[in-house]
Amino acid sequence: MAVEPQTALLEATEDRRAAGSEPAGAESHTPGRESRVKRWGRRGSYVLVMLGALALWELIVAAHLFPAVALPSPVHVLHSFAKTATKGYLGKTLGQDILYSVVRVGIGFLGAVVLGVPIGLLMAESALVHRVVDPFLQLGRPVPPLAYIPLFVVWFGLGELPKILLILVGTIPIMIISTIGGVRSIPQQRYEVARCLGAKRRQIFARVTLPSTLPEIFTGMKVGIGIAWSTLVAAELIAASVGLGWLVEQAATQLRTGIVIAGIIVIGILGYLMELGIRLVERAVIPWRGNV
Amino acid sequence: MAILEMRDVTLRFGEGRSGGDAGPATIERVSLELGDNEFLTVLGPSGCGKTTLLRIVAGFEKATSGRVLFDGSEVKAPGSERVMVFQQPWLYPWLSVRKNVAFGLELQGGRVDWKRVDEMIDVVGLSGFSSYPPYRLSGGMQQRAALARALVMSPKILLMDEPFGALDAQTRQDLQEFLLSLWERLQVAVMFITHDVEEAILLGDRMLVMGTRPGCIALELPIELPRPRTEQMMLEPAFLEIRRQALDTLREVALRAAGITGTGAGDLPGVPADGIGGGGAPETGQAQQNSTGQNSTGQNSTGQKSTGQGVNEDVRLPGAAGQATEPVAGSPRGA
Repeated sequence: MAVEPQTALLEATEDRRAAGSEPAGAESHTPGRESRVKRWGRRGSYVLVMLGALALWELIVAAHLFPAVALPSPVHVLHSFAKTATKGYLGKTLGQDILYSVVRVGIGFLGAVVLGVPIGLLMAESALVHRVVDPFLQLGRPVPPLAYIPLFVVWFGLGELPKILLILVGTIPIMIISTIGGVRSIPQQRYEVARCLGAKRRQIFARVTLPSTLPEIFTGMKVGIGIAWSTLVAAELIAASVGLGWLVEQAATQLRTGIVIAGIIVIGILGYLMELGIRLVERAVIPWRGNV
Repeated sequence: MAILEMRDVTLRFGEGRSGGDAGPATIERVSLELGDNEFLTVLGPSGCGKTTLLRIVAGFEKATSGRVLFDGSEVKAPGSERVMVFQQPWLYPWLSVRKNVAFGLELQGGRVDWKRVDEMIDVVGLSGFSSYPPYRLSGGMQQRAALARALVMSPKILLMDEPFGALDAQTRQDLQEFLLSLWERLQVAVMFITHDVEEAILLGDRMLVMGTRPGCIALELPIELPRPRTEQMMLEPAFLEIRRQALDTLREVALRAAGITGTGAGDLPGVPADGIGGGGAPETGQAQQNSTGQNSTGQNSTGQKSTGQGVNEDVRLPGAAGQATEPVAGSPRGA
């Protein structure tokens, strides 16, 4: 019974429900399936909410509920932002601060991914490796990355290395754990299909385990980038001479609240953009996510 | 000539081997043969070990005792001459339909015969969908792609584990007809597991009905209906007679299973008090021999045949009920 592509296409849409008898563990949400109208409606509402918040902020400032030093107006913050961006603050422009922070996060985070994923894969595949590494993981995980700062300063000084290492150390547990979780959640049948088609161990690893683990790895990356970013900013608050955390800290000591708030907003936007970037990569690498 | 031969195959799972009650079912002293290009259907209630049986043939499970010979040699590991088709298609979502079908060939190294891949995609009626990711296809189409992925390996036997169980009635019927037409064309043996009586009769040359706890073959029936088979045959007397026998056996099996869990088991004569596997197992053979020998209700219009040892022709015989129950009650997982 050869099926005409067109009728079959109908069948394909009709039968999505039948195909809904998806293997257990399949995620039900399908990214990017939102209708265009709905998407723009959602974005529009975000913009409206932000504008409303700004208006409220302006109102509170106008009512003089707080001293201007504590809560400058949105316009003042915008002004501080423009000044820091063009003329800089304490000899460093906003662009330099952003560049330093982003590069530190970029290297530390990528290091955590590049090291964490293979470690996770090894731990999932080998009981021995798991037994050796897991105690360190379990002990190290509850330690807030900031607790390492004094030690890292003693060991590596105040340069770039301790900051990058701190990000790496803070982010690597989540990468390892997500990777292990990804391997562990692979349905047995995915392996069995490959085995009865004649796959050897190494082939199964490359052709089944690795791709199957990607969704969990990306989930780990989305959580990890948040950890990396907050670790970095915190590190810069304590020990740095350039960077967004340093900027915010310095401005605060001089009661330049406009710059502090502008800096915080930049930190927030950059963090959001980084996660967005990972989402875009994810969509390109695993378009099948949620469609198992 | 037999392509597959199982002799007294027993599989018990050690404690802790299977977590919880969803674990695989045990089977006890199953013997069967499968001829070249034969279509064998295995019918049984859930938990009777029919999937376990199939997994042993596939090489995923190793029998505790007994022999499994495939094409003359012992089955030790999975291999592409015995490809399994699962209830779910389990296509790889990161590969296109074409790459999924070619999956097994690519594993062999060397150049993939893409012409053969495309031909097989054509055979299963998916030529327009080669480049699609599998999740864009309907459940039925996905299962056809899974079939193509298996058949492209030129297996000697297809092991099908309720492959149409998750599909809606119409798609299921389409695929049943489709599978039969494929099988007639491609010359491959099929071992087809199902819990659907009609499906088992409609598809098979021969049908095995399995009993539970432990899994064993309760009834073997040749299905002497002409081919090609059609839905209309399901109303013919011959079909209905086979169906009646199969259902009777299933009912008997269910009653026995219920009898064990109830208080009745203790009242039965000859049930060993300790009731652990080793003691019960040898008696299985006796019980079967007895029932085969004494059985007089087994004869019928469709011509039951016995292939000898290990095949219990009829478990309905009232006189043999006590004995027939005995090894079951003595099974390791009796209750």
